[in-house]
Amino acid sequence: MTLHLDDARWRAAVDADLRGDATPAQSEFLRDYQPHGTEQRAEAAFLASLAEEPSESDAEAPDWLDGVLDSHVRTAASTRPVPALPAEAGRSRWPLFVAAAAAILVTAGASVFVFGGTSEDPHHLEAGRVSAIPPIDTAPAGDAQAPWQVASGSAHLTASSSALPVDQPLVVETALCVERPGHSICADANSRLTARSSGALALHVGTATVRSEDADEVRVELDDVTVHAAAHSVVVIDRQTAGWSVAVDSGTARVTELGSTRRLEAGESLQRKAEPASVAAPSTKRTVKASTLLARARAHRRDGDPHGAMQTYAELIRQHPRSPAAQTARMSLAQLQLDRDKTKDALRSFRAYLKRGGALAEDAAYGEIRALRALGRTSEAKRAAAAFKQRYPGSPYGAKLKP
Amino acid sequence: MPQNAPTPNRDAQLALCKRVAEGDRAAAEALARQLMPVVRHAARRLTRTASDAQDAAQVATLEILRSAGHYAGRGSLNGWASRVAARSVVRWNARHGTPLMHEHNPDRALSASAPTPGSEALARPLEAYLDGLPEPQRTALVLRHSLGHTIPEIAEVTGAPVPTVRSRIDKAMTRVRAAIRRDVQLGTKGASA
Repeated sequence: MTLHLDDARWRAAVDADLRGDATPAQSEFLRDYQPHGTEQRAEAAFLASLAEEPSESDAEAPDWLDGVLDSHVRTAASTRPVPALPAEAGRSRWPLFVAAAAAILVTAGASVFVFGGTSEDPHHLEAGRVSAIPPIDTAPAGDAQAPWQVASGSAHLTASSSALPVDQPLVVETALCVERPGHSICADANSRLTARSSGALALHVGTATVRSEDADEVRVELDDVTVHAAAHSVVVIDRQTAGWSVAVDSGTARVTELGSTRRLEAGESLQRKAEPASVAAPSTKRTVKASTLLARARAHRRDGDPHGAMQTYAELIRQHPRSPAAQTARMSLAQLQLDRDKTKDALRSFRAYLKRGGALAEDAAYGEIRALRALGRTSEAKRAAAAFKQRYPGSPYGAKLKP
Repeated sequence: MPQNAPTPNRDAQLALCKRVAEGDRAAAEALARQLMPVVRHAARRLTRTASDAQDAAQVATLEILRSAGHYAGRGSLNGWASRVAARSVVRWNARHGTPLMHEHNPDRALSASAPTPGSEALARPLEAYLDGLPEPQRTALVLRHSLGHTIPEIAEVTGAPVPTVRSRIDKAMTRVRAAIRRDVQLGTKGASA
């Protein structure tokens, strides 16, 4: 009896501690007392697991760290105080833009002298003035789809006008800034880009900082992906062979991947790695990256569209059958099929997963048993359940397998 | 719980944060690596899937780097970072987090915690119990007991009044106890041990 009373006292102390009003006596009691009842011991285990300290293994640097560091350094550079230009005194956004452009130029190893130094080469497109970009809010009013004009830096292409030619790829030599009323884009050295007739800019490789000071958005295309930088936003887009990333420094942006749209707020970023197989040996048949399809399927699920999710998972498996993402997709597809009474399909998907193996093999084996039971294949289900219990003796699913 | 006692290397931490705020990439990397366990811990506990945890951890890391200049050295760096990360993850979760959709979530299995000492007394993984809670209750309980926030800090992070935070924690524990009782009655492994 004393035992139960102490357990009750322990539970009251737990509640008080969680609510932040434990007395010193309760705190001391919590430190010293180990509950004895089965439920209380399980509750103590729950609280101990929840209070577990961060793991040492978490100190390993993640693969996204470089992107985050790049974004931070860019932001820090763009917000560092700079002397205001006389013409821009009193305007809030312009000094930041000058700082950002200057930071990009410094990073690319350019100097102001490059702006006027290559005019004799007909294959160079270059800035018409050294003073970089004029204040956007004093730029002449014009169509949002007006041609992009070079404001600073230089690029290699077959034209000598300061306007970017439409649909002609160009290679940036020194950090290049192009602008049109209300919008500007600065690309790092060695970037490749193309101005589209639609007003969008296609970034083939490199890094571009997009700024919209206008009510309209700016579109940058990365093949299957389109980045929409909203009005009054600064968005940094990086595209390399290994993948791409979009980081929003201020404002918002939408990233559209094959009909699926993701909205990013200031401080957020999105990145995708290229599929190694598709990079190493591009197929003549058009395929979509596995990671893109997986993200799209998840978006369907998030939007409450299981049918769309199932179609996308199936497409992923068809296009990238040997990728790790396809294995994840098999499991997700199987579960969705089972939940929607597509039991035979679910059984096939669970078995396809089990054939290849993976971290979710236990879940897949349990799913296989559920599917067999649903199909009325009782003897097969019994054999599978026996094999399951032998293979996963401590499984939480064990209790559900009792006949 | 965050450690508030002064530490001998506080000056070094402040100097590091100052360099981060100035855009020093090497300093930013050093700080990010130092605080990575704290960030990942917060992201894993407060989100429902491994992919969500990854995304939220990125945003939280960036937020910490951008806020480094505000660290005044009054508490421990880890405690400060934990609060910044938690606020960032909670905000991210509200906008992008994956809702609990059905019984089995393959992504959740990828982010499940490794067994901890004593966890064998639990019939199911910790995440299974947390996933059974409505989001506000789960967030309040995790912030309080896993990340060591005070009740007023939780109120600030979640934008809820203090009494509401206490109520959410109470309700969360009631649900967890009910789930544990059910598992015990079913005679699953931990309970029968």
